[in-house]
Amino acid sequence: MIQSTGNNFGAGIIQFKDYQSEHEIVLNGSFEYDDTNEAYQNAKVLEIYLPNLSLSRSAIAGCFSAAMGPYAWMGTTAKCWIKNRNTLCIEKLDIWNDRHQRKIWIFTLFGLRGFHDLQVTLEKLKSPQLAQSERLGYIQSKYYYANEHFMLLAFALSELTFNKPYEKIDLVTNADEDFPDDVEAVVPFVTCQCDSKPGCAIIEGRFKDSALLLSGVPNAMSYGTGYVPFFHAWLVRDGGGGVAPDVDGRIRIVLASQTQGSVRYTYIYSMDMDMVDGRVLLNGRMAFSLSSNPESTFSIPSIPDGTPTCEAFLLAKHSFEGTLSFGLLELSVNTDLGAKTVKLTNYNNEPYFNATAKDTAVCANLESE
Amino acid sequence: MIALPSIAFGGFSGSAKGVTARFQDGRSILSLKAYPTGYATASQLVRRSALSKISKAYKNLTAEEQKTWENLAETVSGKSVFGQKAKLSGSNLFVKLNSNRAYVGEAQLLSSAPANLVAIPTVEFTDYCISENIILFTGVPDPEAELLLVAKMSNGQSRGVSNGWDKTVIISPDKVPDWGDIDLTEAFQNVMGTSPVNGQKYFVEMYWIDPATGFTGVPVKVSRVCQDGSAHTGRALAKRTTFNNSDIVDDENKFITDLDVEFAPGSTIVTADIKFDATKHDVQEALCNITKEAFDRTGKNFTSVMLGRSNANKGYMPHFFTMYTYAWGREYQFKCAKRGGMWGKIGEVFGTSLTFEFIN
Repeated sequence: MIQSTGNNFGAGIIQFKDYQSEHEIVLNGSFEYDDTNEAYQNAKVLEIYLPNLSLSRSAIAGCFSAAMGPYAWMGTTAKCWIKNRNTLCIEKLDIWNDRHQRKIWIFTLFGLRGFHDLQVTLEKLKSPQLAQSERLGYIQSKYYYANEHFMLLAFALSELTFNKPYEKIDLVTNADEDFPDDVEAVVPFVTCQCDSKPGCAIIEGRFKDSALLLSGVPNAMSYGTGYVPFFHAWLVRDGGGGVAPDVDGRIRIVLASQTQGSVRYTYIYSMDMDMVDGRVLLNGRMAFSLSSNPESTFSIPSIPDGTPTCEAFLLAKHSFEGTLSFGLLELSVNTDLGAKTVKLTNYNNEPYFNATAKDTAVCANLESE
Repeated sequence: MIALPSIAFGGFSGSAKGVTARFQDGRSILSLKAYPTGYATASQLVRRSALSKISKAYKNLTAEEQKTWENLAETVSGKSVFGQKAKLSGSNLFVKLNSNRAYVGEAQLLSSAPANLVAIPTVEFTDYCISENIILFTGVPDPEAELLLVAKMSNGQSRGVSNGWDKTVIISPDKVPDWGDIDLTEAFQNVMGTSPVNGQKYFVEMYWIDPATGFTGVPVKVSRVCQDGSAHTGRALAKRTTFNNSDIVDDENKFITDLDVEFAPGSTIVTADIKFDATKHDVQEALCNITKEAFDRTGKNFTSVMLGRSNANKGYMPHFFTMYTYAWGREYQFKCAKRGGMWGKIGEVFGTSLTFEFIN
């Protein structure tokens, strides 16, 4: 987390969650200001002064800039860039002269230019499997990428159903093996609803536990075919990802997966086990979508020697298009006779059980019984 | 201008045909009328036409304005503000600074002298290359003030020529470092009409100019025989991996009006600053065909995710795009496909993304 040492447009102290390296910076944060203050009116470019950034400058990047309208923030994209190691610049958009409460969201990746002899290497862009607690629209053009430091999530919605006042919509990722669960941020979501002023409505959502909770979608604004609401953010991870356990002595197993046929899949994103006096405290985060077969068995060679054969029950959440139910999941760790397997048994009788589990249980140690 | 011993021409003065003789500081000086020769660059033409106006303009200054120039000339004389020590009159200084400013496109004459002398740094660089394909100086730091870099180059000379800087002409009067690079490749071709030739020697002179005052820094001079590789390491000094306007094929699929894309390290990062006008295109995308040479620069197709917006007339609607290259038959396309937002047909694509494996 970094904190501004000042700015030239009359805002208060601004904080960013940050990831900084030799070649890239990701900043996450938002702030408000009043455009009637003299400092803002004198500024040609908005400048935020920050302590010792890892890049001495950056190429053009993008953020969101908005003014408060009658129903929502009305905004658009704005250019931003790092001017020097102490200054983040944001394009000043003088396009809402009668709207004085302003807000800027920076969920942005910054990079460099000016390199010779470059070999272009490519990362893998994946398509997340998103489900909605209320059907807001048809999810399309969905992309995510994650490394151990930051992630990108972008998707669009079409065929919106703005025929009722949504209080909240939960967009969850529930079947992606490496979708981070250690990102928490209040993020902008472009609804594309219009009034007579530039830009369109931008609402805020909370991104947490691999889910985006949108609330307060304005229903009093015009909307039409082709408006295509969207989400786009580069997000800093909190560091819970990866194979390193959070606590010394804890066993962490990550990224086990099993495909049954072409469409059935079950993932163990991560499973932490603490062994204390022969008892096992187990925390698991897993996703599964089983049709007819309620069981999946994973071979996990990374289970450490000495781990007892044990089992636990975890609660699972099933959330899909307006339905929310709970499932019971049995998890059995088998280390007998050199085996290193984990069996998941789903006790929910839903024919298509598409759910996430994130729970902690004390395992029954089968060896000691 | 040729300075001759006074013993030969003492007492002679006046002009005959193209020759003028005069007596100054104990010597006779024989001047030949100068005719522009060689390469007339755009900036030279500007300067030649402007010089006459500037020379005449001094007479029209008020006495007070002329006094400011005389005062500054006294301060300047003996100081190396133009790269050499000189004794200057007020009118000399007026002409010199204003003609320098004319070089870099400052049409308005300075009627009063600049209030203060401005310290202009020398051009620094870490490496350079003069080859048949590229004339490039790297590691040029951005000047702290708003200065422009004036670059002069000679045409190809014999390897044995040790001093050819008098053969240099301005090939670019107004460069600024582009992420540390001063790339003179196109400027040289535009002025000389050809590229450097391997084995021939080229002389280069560069200095900073302050367009506000016309003051210039001490020139830095280098010469090098045209050959591949950096002057310091000998290794190939490749161009940066970019797509720009010169890569666009001018055909019916040209809906991108300004293309500026570059790749950089960091799980390859790509940055973009693009303008488009797709009013005559039926698909919600900004598109252009690029040359195969440009297409091959990345070595493979790629996809990235960018932000953007429509322009002011289209309501500043925010967009997000996937940006990618795509081979389509014999065409090599560069596309920004709109994925989110209300399509405005005219606008910008900008931002920073990682470079991903191609997905359509």
